[in-house]
Amino acid sequence: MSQIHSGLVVSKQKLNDRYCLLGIQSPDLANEARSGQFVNVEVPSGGHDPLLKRPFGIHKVDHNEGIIYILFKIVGTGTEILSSLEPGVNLEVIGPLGNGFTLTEKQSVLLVGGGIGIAPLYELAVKLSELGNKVKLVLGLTDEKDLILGDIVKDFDSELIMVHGDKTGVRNGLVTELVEEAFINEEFDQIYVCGPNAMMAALKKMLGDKNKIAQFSLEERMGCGVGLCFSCTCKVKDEDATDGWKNERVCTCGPVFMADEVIFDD
Amino acid sequence: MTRDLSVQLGRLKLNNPIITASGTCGFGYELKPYLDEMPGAIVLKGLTLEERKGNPTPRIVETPAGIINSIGLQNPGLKRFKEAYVPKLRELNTSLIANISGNTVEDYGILAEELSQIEEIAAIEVNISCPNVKKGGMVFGTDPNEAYKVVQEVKEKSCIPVIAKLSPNVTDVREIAIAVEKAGADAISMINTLLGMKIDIKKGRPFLGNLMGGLSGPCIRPVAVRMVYQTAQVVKIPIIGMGGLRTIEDVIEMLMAGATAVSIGTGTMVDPNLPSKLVRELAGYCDKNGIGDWKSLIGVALAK
Repeated sequence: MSQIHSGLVVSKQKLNDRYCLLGIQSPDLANEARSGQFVNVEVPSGGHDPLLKRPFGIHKVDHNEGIIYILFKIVGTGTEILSSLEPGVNLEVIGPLGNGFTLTEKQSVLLVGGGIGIAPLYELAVKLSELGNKVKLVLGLTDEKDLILGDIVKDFDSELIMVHGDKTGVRNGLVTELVEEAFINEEFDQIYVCGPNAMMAALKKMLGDKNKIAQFSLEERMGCGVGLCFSCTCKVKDEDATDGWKNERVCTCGPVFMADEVIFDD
Repeated sequence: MTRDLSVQLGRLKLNNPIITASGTCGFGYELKPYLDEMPGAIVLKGLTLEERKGNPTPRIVETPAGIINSIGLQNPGLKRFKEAYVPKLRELNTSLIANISGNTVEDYGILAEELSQIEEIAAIEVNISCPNVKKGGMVFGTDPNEAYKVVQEVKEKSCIPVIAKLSPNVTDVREIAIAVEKAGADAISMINTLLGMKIDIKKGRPFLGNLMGGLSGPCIRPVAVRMVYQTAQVVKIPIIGMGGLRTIEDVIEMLMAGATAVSIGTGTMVDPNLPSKLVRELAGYCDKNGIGDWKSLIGVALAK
């Protein structure tokens, strides 16, 4: 089946006890993957726990070796099992899934990440740079353990901000502050955002007219990842609906939506 | 593949006994790219007369060997289904079964009448067992008299086979099964999900947006097997058995319990190719075990 691949785990790097980087070799997958798309990865448990595959944004693609990388936060049983795998294991991987980001060329772009939301933005930054865009990246972190995510993007014109922790040399505050300041200094043609819903809701409020040029990659708890079960919905505008909105599947209609389409409940 | 896997479910003939369960295969076309062997039937996502937006998120959570979902019958409603979705069904090369839910007995009747006139629809599955909606749904499936009324109405208004989908959230499922058989159901499908709940202990509140939801997956399989086994002894109409089936051995067990066909639900969400695999493996299982006709497995475990 075209989208179901057998991926070979070729590298595993635990960045710290919170984050893990997994390299999965599947030439077809690497060949097809576009920035902002995701993969649904088997958790090899040998039984029924956990049952579902886990969705991860594509973090990095090595086209020469046919490897895709996923970068994830260890939050529960599924990600714990994945972070304990060693190279040599085969995993069933479905993908690439979802729409991905719409890429600009030779423009000035701002990438806004919150925590592990940086995972798909890295691949995006690489692609946008290749396309001749001027890329600026701002990243909001929680605490010192998140600094490792800052290292990943240090080759780009990037700025970090952190909610907790003052011994790090990183400024304290929210990523929205960096976005606000970025716009004081320059104009951007396109904004790309990936982070927790609360961050995106705050950004949406702040961006005003600029929501028209902002692409949000959303996160919602998924079931199948391929549009079968309607678990991972988000609210989007619908002019045909009497009350102006509908629920749309994040997996197949997203995960990337234009910011002015998405509705966040207060 | 030369082996004949076809099966007759009352008036409904299927190419094989593997079916995909409603709510786990979208409207069929989403699943099609993952199928290299078509299941005997695809049961479409549940339809209601009016559009339903469904429940707030999160709508799904994992539990031991299972999942709890609370989608809430999100669907485009009958009118838009006919306009926008039916054209997409034409390329699905298998029997399509529409699944219907209503707030009232009349709703079920209207849905049945209209859907039975659509050429692409081979049968109607009457959902009297959805645990995720406030009105209708399970209310009709937990009272034999109500179940009878709904199925009778659907039978009267439709000219295609009618399948009643039963809820396990009852004291004795046999009472409901007998009632829907009396009302004229051509077949029974069982079981729908079990009402369940998960609490987020960090936040001290229910995990799902809708608080409760329907439990499915391997954890409910023994309940499903037991209920099919009990029901097969009191009704003559064929049973479509479902509940946590993931392997060919699970399928064989369900057939032996008295099911004439089986549905795959949660298993398809884990592996969208699973229905195809099971079609192939049924033939393989029979070859390997010297079984001439797989239908000889139906009900072999029933008390003689």
